[in-house]
Amino acid sequence: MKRGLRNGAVTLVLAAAVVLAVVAATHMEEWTNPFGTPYRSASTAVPIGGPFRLTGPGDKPVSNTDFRGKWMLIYFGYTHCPDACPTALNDIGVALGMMKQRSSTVAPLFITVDPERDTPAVIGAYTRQFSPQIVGLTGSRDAIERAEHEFHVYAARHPTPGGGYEMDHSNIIYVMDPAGHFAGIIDGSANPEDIAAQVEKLEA
Amino acid sequence: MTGVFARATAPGQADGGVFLTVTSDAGDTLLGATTPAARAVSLHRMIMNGNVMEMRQMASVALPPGRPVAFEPGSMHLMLEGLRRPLERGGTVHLVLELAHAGPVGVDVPVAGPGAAAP
Repeated sequence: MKRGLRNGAVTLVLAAAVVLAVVAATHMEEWTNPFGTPYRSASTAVPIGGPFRLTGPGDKPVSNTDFRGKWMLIYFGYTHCPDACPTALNDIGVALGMMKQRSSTVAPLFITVDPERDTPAVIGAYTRQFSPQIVGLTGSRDAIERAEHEFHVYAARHPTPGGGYEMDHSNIIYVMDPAGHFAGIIDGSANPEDIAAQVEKLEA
Repeated sequence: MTGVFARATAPGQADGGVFLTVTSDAGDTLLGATTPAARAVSLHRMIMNGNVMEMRQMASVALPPGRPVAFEPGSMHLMLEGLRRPLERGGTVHLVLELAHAGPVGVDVPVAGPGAAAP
């Protein structure tokens, strides 16, 4: 191979290796977490979670500090979603039942990614269907976007032919410990037994 | 048709989901549906893109001859848009499926729990 070509090929390989390393580092969470098993956040360079000030049922202001002392299970979704969100919330509700007394140590929250349509009344009635323990939170677009940003939640509008829109969103349950620090994630499609088991493992 | 059910909805919830498994012996195409319970019905597919859930509307769904096509949580559903009244658990909602060859086919859909995985 000619010298120039050889150097070019080596540079390309090195560049690819660097790109792969960066991709691997940033995606390590997904790759080492294919089945939604919980893991401690010590190794993630990116802090997950943060303070939020949102609106709960009855237009009551709700902030993250209200849940100090409890394990927060936070799921982001929206009520115009007939598949993934009801499934995840139902499974969280059933998991709470399985946890029995331990369920009182848990604060399950549902934060909408669609604050324009999900008003406090709508979201309160929605979450009550699955469990009276689940707190449905909405807020101003700014407050919601701040929460999405802190939890690194992907949420995007997708217009529909009828003139409305649906939301693409991360299907993840974020677990925060009683001090408010990130403790792990659980896949949104995990079944109730797995959710209960993983929460109990984190609480241990 | 088997595995037919709708998920109950809360007051103020605008959309609901209907799930069913349908087999067309001769083969057909599902073009959509109508229901007195909602303003419109559309066909949707859920795709998991990594950890991101995406819902996409489909113009039609092919029903290959003799092959059951399942609309179930995690894959496809019929979305009832603009519910006129909440879907109540234990109740029934009437749906008319629009098929390309067979024409309109009515089905009474029992309403199960809000997060039900099966009827």
